[in-house]
Amino acid sequence: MTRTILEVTDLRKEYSQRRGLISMLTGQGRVIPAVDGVSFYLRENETVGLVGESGCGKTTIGRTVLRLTDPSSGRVVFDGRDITTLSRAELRPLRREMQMIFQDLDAGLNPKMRVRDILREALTVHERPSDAEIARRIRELLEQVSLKDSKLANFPSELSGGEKRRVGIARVLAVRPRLIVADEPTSALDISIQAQVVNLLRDLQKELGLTYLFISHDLPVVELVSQKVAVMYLGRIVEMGLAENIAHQPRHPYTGILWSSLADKQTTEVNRRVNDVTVESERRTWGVFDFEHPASGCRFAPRCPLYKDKGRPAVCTDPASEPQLRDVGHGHVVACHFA
Amino acid sequence: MDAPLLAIENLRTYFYSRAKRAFIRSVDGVSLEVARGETLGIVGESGSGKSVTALSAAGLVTAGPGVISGRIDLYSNGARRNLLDGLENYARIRERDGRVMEVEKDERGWRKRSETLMAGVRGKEIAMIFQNPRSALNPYSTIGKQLMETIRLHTKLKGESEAKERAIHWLERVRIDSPRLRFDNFPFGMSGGMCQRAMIAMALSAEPSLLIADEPTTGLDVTIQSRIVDLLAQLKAETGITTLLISHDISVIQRLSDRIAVMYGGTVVETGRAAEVLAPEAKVRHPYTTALLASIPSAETIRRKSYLQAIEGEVLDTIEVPRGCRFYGRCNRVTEAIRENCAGSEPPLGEVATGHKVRCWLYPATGKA
Repeated sequence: MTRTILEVTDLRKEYSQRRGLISMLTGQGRVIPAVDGVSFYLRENETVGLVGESGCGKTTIGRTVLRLTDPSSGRVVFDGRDITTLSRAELRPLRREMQMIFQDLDAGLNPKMRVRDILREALTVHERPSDAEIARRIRELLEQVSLKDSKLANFPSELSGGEKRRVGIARVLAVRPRLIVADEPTSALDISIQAQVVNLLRDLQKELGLTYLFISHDLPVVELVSQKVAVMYLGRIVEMGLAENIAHQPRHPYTGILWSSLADKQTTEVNRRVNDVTVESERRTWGVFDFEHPASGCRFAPRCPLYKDKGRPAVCTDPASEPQLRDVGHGHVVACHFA
Repeated sequence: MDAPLLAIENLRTYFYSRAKRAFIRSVDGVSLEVARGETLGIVGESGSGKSVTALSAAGLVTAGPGVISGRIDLYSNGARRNLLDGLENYARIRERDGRVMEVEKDERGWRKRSETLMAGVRGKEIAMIFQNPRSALNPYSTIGKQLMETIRLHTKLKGESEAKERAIHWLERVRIDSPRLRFDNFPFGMSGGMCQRAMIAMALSAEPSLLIADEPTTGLDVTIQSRIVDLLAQLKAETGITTLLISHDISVIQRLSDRIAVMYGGTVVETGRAAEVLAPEAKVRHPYTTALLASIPSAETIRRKSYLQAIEGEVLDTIEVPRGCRFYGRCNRVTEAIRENCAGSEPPLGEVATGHKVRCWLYPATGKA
C-alpha cells in the first residue's frame, strides 16, 4: 500500500459577505460556507477527481489545501506534516512540493518574459543552479511537455492555447513537485488539444510519480484520469468512491443526475436508475441552489427526486439529522439517508 | 432540399492584423444553405471560422480594415435579399497570387450601406443568442422591459399591456418559473441558465425567420447545459424555427441538428445529415471529423483507461494558409497515393453520397464538385 501524501480533515472555509454601510461598520455580514466540513485523502501517485457544479467549492478546496487561501478551520496534513498553521516562511520550502495548474492559460506566464526566462525563473526560485544546469533542466522540461526548442524565444502572446498550457505545466514541473492540484486544466482548450493535454498529464504522472487532485466539470475526463472521484454539492462531499462506481453505480441521487445530464445532452430519453428510483431529470423544479439559505437537514433535498418520490420524508429536512458520509462498502461513501 | 431560407455563397471574411501585418482569413470561401425549418449545426474548434460565419450573416462584422465578400441570400416574404449587396463598392481589394495584399476601404460608406441592408433584418428576421447571456442583456433594465422593447419594436403589438402579456407569455414558453415575478428581475439577480432562457425568449419574441445560436450552452454548468439543450429542442419542435447552431460541443450539435457542417481553418470540410456524418459506423468521413470524434473520451476508452486519440499539432492559424489541404499537417490518413495532392492543392468539397460532401482527396467526388 502506498503512503498517504495529503490528508484533509473537516476542512471549512467561510467567506463573509458584507452588504451596505451598516454591516460594513458593525463588521457583521452574512457568512457563506464555501467549504463546509470536507475530509478526504490522497495516496501517493494517485489521482482523485473533484466534481460538482460551479460554486460548489471545488476550487476553494484546491486553494486551501495548498494554503493559497487560509482555511477557517480543519486540518491539512501534507506528507505527515500539519500545514494548517504553518507561517509563510515555514511554508516556503513546502511550496515546491505542491503546485497548482490554473484554469487560466495565462496564469503565471508573465506577458513580458520570454518562455526561456519564465522557465529560468521557475528553476531558480528555490535553488541556485549553474547556468549549465539550468540549460540542461530547460531542455529536460521541454522534452517532458513536448514543446519545441524554437518556442523558448517566444513571448506568451505568441503561443497557441495548447502551447501556453504546456509552458504552464513545464513551469510547475520545474520545481519538481510531488502533489499537483489541477484546477480545470483543460477547460480553456479546444477539444483536440484537450486530448493532448490529458494524455500529457497522465504520462507525467507515470514518469514522475506525481499525485493529482484533479478538479474539473468535464465528467468523462475526470472518470478517465481518476482512480477515485469525490462529488461535491454546496460545499460538502456527498459521495466519494472509485471512479467507475461513481460514474456507473452512483448511490447519491445528485451523482446520478450529474452524470445523466451529460447523457441528456445527447439523447432525449435518459432514465438512470438510482436505488430503484428513476432519476428522471425533473425539469421544472430544477432551480439554482441557494448558498445563502441552505436547506435544513439534507441540503440537496429541495432538488432531490428521491425526496419527492419517497413522499417528502421528514428525516430529509430535519435540521438535527443532516446526512453524514457513511461507508456502503469498499470505501465508497455516501451522504444520503436512503443510500 | 426545400427552398433555402439562408444561402451563403463563397463567403470570405478577412480581418487585418496590425501586429502580424497580414490578413487573417477567418472565413475563406464558405458556402452553406439552411433550409426552412431545419437546424444546421456548425461544429469546429476555435479559429475555425464558425462564429465569424454567423456574425457575417447577422451583419455584425464591421470592424476595421477587414473584407467580406461573397453572397448571403436571405429568402423571406417571397423575396430574395443579398445581405452583402453593393458592399463591394466600398472596398478595393488588391490581390496577388490569389492572396489579399491590400485593402482600401471607405469605412463610413461601408458601415452605412451595411446598416441599410440590415435594417429590418437584424433582430427581426435574424435573431441571435450568444455565448454569454449576461453580457448581452442590459444590466440597467429588467428583463421584462427588455422583452417588451423587442416585442413593440418588431411585432404588431405596440400597446403597453398587450406587449407585457406577450412578454410574460414568452417567459413562460422558455420555462422560467413564476414569469410574472421574474418579469421585474434585473439580469444580475438571475443565474446564468435563467439569463440564457431570457435571451432565448427575447430572440424568439421578435418572431424571426432565422435564429442564430452561437455557443448557447458554453460556459454553463453541465446540469444547466442539458436543460438549455432540452429547451431548444422543445422550442424547435413547437415553433419549427429555422436555426443556425454553432458549437464546439459535438454532443449539443448531435442532439439538435438536422444537418451539420464541420469547419476547419475557415472552410467547410464536411457537410451532411447529422445522423449520417456522426454515425459511429460511418465509413466515409473527413479525417478531421473522425479525429474530432475520437478525441472525446468514449465509454470504451474510459473503461480500458487507454489513451485519448489526440490530434497532433496545433489548430491551423489562418494567416499562413497552406497551398494544399488545410488539415494535411495534422492528418493521419494521408496515403502515398494521394500525398502529392494533399500537399499541393486544396481538395474540392465533393459529394460522396446524396447530400453528403467531404473535402478530402481520399474520396474522389462521385458527382458534381
